[in-house]
Amino acid sequence: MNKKAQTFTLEGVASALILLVALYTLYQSSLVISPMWNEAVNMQMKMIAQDTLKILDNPKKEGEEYYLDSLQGMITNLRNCQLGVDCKPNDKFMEALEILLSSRGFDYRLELHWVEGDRINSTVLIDKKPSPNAVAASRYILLMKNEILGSSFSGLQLYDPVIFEVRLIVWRP
Amino acid sequence: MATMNEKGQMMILFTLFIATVIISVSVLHAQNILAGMETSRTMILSPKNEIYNLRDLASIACDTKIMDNYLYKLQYSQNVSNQIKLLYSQKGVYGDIIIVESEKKLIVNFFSSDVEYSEKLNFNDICGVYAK
Repeated sequence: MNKKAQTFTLEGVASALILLVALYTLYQSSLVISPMWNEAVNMQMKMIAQDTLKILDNPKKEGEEYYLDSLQGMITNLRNCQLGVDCKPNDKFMEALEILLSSRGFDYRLELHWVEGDRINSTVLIDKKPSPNAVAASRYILLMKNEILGSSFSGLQLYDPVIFEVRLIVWRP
Repeated sequence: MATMNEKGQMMILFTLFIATVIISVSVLHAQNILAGMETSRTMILSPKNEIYNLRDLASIACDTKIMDNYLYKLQYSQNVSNQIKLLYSQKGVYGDIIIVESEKKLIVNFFSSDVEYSEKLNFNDICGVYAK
């Protein structure tokens, strides 16, 4: 009777060990799910950021002026302000960003980069602090020097034509 | 007692079989997840948007309205190329647009650690296409 019980116990222990190894392997592998999900979400946000910039990149003009809600119009209308201090995009552009991003639950930061001489300068137009899962997308805008006359860039030593990199950083708050 | 041992052996064998099935399924599951993760990572790191950006910029840069009226075509081409190279270098990649006005051609180059892309385009095919 004792031997029977011992055999049962030993069988139980052996089975439990084997199942433990199997379950351990299963849980080890399922831990991988978490980063994959993050990657997929990041990819979706990056595509949304890229699409937003593409929608706003409108090189068409209304008469002599670019549309205010285009990237070109936003840059040429940065007037009467000091770069890096109080320059903000115009209201129509902000409204467009609001519709494209904020209304869908995204928060964003907008930066502008350009070349001055042989170095890169940048300014932050919408200054918000990104979360660690933020993604960035860029779009390049070409403007002739005479198109930015009167803007905050007119006093700078820029190339002609001048190329601006508009960088949009998007995240879910 | 002998019958009891056989039963025990059967139990162990059956447990082993179940454990093997669970391990195989979990390995397969992990493999699929890894493959999915690698695919999404490849997609997110793919520089296709950078290349699209270069092509769109090339379309604007060689807009015939600008090129026909511009007096300093060579300088114009150099200025575009210099700025793009610098702006792309920020991201650790090489991007360039070379306007070959004499041949009415445009060369778009993009090189990163993973991708090497170079394309020669005719003015007629690309110039101002994006702006239209």
